[in-house]
Amino acid sequence: MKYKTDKSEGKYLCHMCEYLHDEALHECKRCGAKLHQRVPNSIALTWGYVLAATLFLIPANILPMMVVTSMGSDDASTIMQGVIYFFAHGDYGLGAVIFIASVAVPVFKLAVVYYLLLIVHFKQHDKALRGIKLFHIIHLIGKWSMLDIFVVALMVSMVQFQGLASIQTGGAAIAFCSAVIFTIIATEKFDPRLMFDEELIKKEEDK
Amino acid sequence: MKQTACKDCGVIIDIKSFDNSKEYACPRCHSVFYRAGESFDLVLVMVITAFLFFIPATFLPIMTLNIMDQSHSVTLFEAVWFFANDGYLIIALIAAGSGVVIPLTLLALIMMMILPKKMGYDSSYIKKFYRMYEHLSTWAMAEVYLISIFVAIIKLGGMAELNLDFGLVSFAFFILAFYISLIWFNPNDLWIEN
Repeated sequence: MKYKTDKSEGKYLCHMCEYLHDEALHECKRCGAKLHQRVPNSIALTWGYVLAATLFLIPANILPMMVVTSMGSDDASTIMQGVIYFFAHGDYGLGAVIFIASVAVPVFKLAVVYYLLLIVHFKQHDKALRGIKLFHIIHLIGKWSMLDIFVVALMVSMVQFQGLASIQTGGAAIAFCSAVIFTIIATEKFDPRLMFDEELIKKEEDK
Repeated sequence: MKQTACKDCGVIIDIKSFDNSKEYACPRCHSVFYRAGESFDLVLVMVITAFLFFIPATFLPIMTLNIMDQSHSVTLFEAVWFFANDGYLIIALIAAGSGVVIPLTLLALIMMMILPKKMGYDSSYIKKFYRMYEHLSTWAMAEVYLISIFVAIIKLGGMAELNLDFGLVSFAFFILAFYISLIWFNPNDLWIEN
């Protein structure tokens, strides 16, 4: 056996301050956080949140993100229409930013979380190292999907001219917001050590 | 001699001599589990800088919009307030929370953890503040908020005449100072020093 882990040695690592305990205490000695060897119900909770996020992404892409009322006429646009608007007007940089933040990143994040869950489920331990790299990436880029929500929030509050022009949010805003938040919770609940843990059991069985 | 375990793959790691100015990574999964922070004095200076920049950002307008002789200037809090009145209270709360309230709370928590430590008395609240800090830091999206202000400006630029005000500049500097203090502050140093 090449590596000793906290599980094989019967030690308990605090999730917050990373203090290593020799026995299973209720709370961490150093920072007082609840002490678990692995995140409790990690896989079930991650599945739940990631499925909820996937479902919310559907209305988020179908319903309009915002409705611009100008001179009495309504103009509703979905996320993709917003991106196309920028490309059609030659604003390629901004179009790319919005596309990456509100289409590519959420889909990529969900795909990665499914991939990680499948690694754990099918015990694909040789893919665990790649999995941990992807896990770090989605931790870094996760919050950028909120960009479009903030843009709509700002535009709604700034454009309030009685009778002349106003902007309302569409149903997609709340759906997209929920999708992003559920994805963030899903990555928080996922315990990457589960990808490595089974390696130990499998190797011991082989012996 | 110090023993710890990797947060990402569970490997037990023995550190022969621990130096808190170095970076430590896991031998198996290469995740960084200790990242050196700056000294608490520097962090404190940056936190105070962020607070100072936040004061003008609250009451100065961030921008002024002109459409057909009507002008309309918005401050940071009005921006949120309008949205809340529009019936989208949840989105208003999320935008205001992750863009402004949580960053401010984090800065205040950093101060409340460092100051008792500096003054030399052991505050029993440090543990509580530390746990709050770790929970909230996931939800601080100040830098996303700043970029979204610029995207909104470009989007609105096509619709109406737009003047940027000083409030936006000070808000941008607030976020910059906030981000730097978050990078510099390593909460693990709270435990290592004693």
